Amino acid sequence: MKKVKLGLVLGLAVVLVAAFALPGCVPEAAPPVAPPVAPPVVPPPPAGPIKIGINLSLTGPKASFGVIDRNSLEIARAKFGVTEIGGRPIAFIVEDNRGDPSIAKSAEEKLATLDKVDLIIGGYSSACGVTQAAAANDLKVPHILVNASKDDITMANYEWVFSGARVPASHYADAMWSFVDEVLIPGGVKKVALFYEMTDWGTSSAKGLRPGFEKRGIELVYDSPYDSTATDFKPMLTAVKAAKPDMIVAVSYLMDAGLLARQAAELRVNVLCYMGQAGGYTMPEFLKLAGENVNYTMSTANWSRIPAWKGEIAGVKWTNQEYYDAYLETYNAEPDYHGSQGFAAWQIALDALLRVDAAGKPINRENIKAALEETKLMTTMGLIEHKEWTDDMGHHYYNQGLPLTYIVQWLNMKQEIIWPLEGKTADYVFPVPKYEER
Amino acid sequence: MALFGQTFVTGILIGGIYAVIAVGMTLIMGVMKIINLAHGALMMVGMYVCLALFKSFGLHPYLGMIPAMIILFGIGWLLQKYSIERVFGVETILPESQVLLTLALGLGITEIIRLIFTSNYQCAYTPFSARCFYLGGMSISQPYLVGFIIAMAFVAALHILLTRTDLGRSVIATAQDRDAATYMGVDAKRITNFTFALGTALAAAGGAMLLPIFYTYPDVWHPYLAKCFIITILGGMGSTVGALSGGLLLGVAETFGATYWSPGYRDVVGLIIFVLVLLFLPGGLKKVIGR
Repeated sequence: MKKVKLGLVLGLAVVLVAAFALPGCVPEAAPPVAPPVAPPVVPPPPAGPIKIGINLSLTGPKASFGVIDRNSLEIARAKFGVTEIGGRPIAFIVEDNRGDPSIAKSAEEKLATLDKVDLIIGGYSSACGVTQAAAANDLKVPHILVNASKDDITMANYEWVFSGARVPASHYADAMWSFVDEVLIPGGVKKVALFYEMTDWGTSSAKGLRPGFEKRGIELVYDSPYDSTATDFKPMLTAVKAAKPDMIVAVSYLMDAGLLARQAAELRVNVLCYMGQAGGYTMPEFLKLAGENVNYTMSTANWSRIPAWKGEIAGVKWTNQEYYDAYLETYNAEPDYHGSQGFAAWQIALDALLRVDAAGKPINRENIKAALEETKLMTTMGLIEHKEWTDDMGHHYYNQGLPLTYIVQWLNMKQEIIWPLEGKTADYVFPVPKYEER
Repeated sequence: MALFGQTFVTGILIGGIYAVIAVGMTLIMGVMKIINLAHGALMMVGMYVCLALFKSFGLHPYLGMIPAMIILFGIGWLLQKYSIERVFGVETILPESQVLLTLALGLGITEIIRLIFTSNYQCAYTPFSARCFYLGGMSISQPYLVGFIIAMAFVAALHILLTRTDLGRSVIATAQDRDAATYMGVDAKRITNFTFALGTALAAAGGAMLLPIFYTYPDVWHPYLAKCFIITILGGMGSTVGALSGGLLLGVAETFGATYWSPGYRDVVGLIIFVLVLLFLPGGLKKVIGR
């Protein structure tokens, strides 16, 4: 029996070896001489649309930000009026990631693999931006960030991810530092309370702020993260009040910014200056949530309509103010820096697409990526260049620009640019009046 | 001292609102012996009913609370009668099928609300939302205080209902021994329907009290469900006084944790209490209070 089995195994082995080896042993036959045939006339494949994926938080807790981005992208698209390039129509495929990082990643994957988009624009909230950027890089699809500002996103050496007009979180306060040096410190600010929502953006911002205060000898008397979805900030604000700071620095999204402003007023947390770090503090909805308590709140901001930036794309001239007016007219609301970053994202994308076409190259992912690497364009956010550079904090960025930053202050329930002085729309009020005196 | 006082007052006021949401859950748990994981979602529905009435008719959430409670009472009754009751006593793969059903109901309700109202945060702020007065250097928020007073009134009314009326005694009898109550002539099925509906209406009342202070979105209920669960375990099943004590204790503990430890770890305090109660006081405060 054993002999039979051994024989079968050996036989099988021989057959297998023969099956794999013998074809290689056969001498190559001379290729048959085919009669000359005229090459068939193959019509060029029908040109499909240039697909642009839009991956934003259009519903959910961060919807206000995603919607202002999408609206601004649409304004930019209408403004420049480019509906096709090289005979290929431009199609936007919009995905709502609901502000959820896992959904944002899935949406990115769907756009890249199922929809086979040529370029993706998107990313509000750093948590979503982190997953989107990683997915885009893995799937080799160029991605232009809109707002997601965590430093790490463009420090990860993702060759397919481009900063667009976003400002890295640790640079939100760039304008604030000159204001601190020239106005706040001479005005008596010595102690600061810092609180920040504990997600990627908040912690990244706080990390960038601490050395700035330390360098200036300003004491951090309160330094704590908080849950932005919490509904009651009174315990935290009570502790802040007890620490007796001269200034509050807060990194907040929208709903928490509104609640914080209201509850700080209720508890009369009087300070010389309440400084938000952009985010919710510059959104028009902040006014709806906090009512008259918005007054005197300052915030860093990444955009101003005041600088007379202008340019021309696809033969269409634009100015910074025109974007502001168009948004106000279309949506009956003032845009903020988030929207301007959305407008600029389409400027950057369109510029890259047009340069690829002008070079006579096919519009595909590789060529768009190569064009984005060469971006040097004036936008509503100022001059944007995708460069590799290192800042004075030691952050090493890839494909990252650095738009200017500003400080706004809510005065008479309206946002005014107060710093730098050359771009101001109103004089700053500092120190701010006490709540009981307002 | 002002810091301590402010923290204590804030904790007590928020704890009262926690208590009224949790008392519904503890009632359901006491009578039906199941954890109602849809409780938080039903609270959220109550918030949306109030929000819709506020936005459509300008009805203040405190007034909208009454129709919201009536609507949620009806929803609770129907859910109990036509879904949860159906799997009661039925042999299923898992003995906890009713609990799983309540979880499915909670998730389903959330998605329906998301479909109707989207996931956006929405609020019903009125000028009253920001009013407060000052007492000895402490700020007392008027909507918190009004919410607390209404919550206490509901807990007191519920306590009287359960201890002084035939209907309430039937509820307690059903909670103590369903079969014995049935033999004594209590319609246990009807009482169970009533209890579930009443618990749901109380959850809606809690949601209505939160609306002028905070905001709502379809997933707002997750932390409140966890708080209700902790309060129910802390207070003891089926005990109104236990739920009230548990709510106040949790509110104060969380607030002190956020003030003196870190606001980021506020919810951790509740979970620590949860574990400690399970380990050292498994019967909850009910055993200590004796009610």
